[in-house]
Amino acid sequence: MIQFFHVTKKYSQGAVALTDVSVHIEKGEFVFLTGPSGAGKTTFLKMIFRDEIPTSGQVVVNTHDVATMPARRVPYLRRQIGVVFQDFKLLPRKTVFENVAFATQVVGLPRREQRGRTYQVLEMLGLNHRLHNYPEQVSGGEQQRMAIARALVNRPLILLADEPTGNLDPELAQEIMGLFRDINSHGTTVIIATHDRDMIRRMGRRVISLDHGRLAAAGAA
Amino acid sequence: MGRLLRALRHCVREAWDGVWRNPTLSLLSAAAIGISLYVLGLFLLLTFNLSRFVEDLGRETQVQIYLKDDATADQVKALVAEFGTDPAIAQARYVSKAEARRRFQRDFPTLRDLPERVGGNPFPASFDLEIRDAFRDPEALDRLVASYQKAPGIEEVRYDRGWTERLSRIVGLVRKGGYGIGALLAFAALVTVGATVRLTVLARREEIEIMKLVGATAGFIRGPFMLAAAVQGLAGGSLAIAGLVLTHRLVERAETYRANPFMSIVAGRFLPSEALLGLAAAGAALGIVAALLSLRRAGTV
Repeated sequence: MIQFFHVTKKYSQGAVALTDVSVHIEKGEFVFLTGPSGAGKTTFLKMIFRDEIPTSGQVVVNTHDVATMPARRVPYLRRQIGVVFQDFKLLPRKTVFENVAFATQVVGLPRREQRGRTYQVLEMLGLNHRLHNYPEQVSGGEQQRMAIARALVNRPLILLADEPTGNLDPELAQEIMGLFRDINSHGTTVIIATHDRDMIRRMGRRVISLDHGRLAAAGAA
Repeated sequence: MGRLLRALRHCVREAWDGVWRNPTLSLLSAAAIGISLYVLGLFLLLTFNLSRFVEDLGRETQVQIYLKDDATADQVKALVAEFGTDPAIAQARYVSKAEARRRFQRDFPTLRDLPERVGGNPFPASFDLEIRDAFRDPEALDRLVASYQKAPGIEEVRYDRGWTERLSRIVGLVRKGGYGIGALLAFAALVTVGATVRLTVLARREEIEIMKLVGATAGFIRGPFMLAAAVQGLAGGSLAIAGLVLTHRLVERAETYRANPFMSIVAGRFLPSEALLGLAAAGAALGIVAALLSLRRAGTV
């Protein structure tokens, strides 16, 4: 599903984010991406949805080489990938419902389906009592769940989450992880970047460990 | 089809939202386009009227062929036959020596006894040639003159080229000047509309970034901006047309218009509807081009 072949990423200022990383993630896998801050986790995720392009090496997602993919194909790649950003990236002027429905609108779903799917995913994430609130009116945990709802609403093949439990209390973090496990059990490939070692241990899934942009370990926890 | 309609609906809704989110800026864009097209329209109006005037004048252009006093009847007959087959000549009218004298006496009554005083009739017989439209340009007239200059029995060939040529040159200059100023103002409008689009893009940067991340196509993101700019351009074009109609009415009613025949030459008729449609379309096109350039620079895709 996702393959990294000797991927190196250098930024124009000379900083190196990834060095010679080769990884293979199977369809339907649940993988943790871990490492200290600045290890290259976010760059690794960004390469998958082509927010970054490798300086050298190759990133293949669902048989497509993302670096050589024509710009007009990129939106269609991104529609297969749901991303939960570390900073949520919610729109302050849109309500909870609108923030999530927005993603369905972008991909051109029929109106009825837009509404149906949005209600469904918001209910699944326990946000159905917050539909008409604006992001600033809901808690950090609820904002996080909004971000997850938006990532899931288009039923992606791949779900990427960057520190999705960073702002949550342990109980809620556990709940969110349970949710990711459920999503994964329906066939979605899930990759979660986190440095919460306890969480990784509890989940007992495959771990890709990065350190200073290099692959430190890739295997089961 | 449903998908296209949904995209169109999104485009219209977002464009409407964009226009009303900052009405002052939208108005400024429309005004900038309106002013540039108004000035361009004024020059169009001026050159349209001047061209018509020159054309009318040109229709009266006649070539006169003066015959030698000793031209024989056969030579005259041969000339008449030649005029009949010449594609440039619509009509040839023979003016005898006697008629030439009568004309002179009619046009200059105070000098009517001049012919007698200089001893008889000094006026040569001539042909007045009426030239067909397609042969009225200076080059064609020169060719015509040259072809008859050396013919037997002909003293001189003359036509009043100076006037028409000079006038066409003036009209050409006015037109070029108008296009130049119009282009300059259009560029200014382009910059204004571009800046408006860029400001709107900046204000919605976050939203656009998220749209891109969740898989919006370039068209989905750009469409509303382009539609809004096209609408602003169309509004500007309409403003320009309204301004031109108003200006023309005011000029027509002005005292100087009736007192000065020159005014009817420069502003006698209003622009034809095709030209007005062209102005409106130019407004929309200006808006779209400005938006496109600006969106590219803002890196929306």
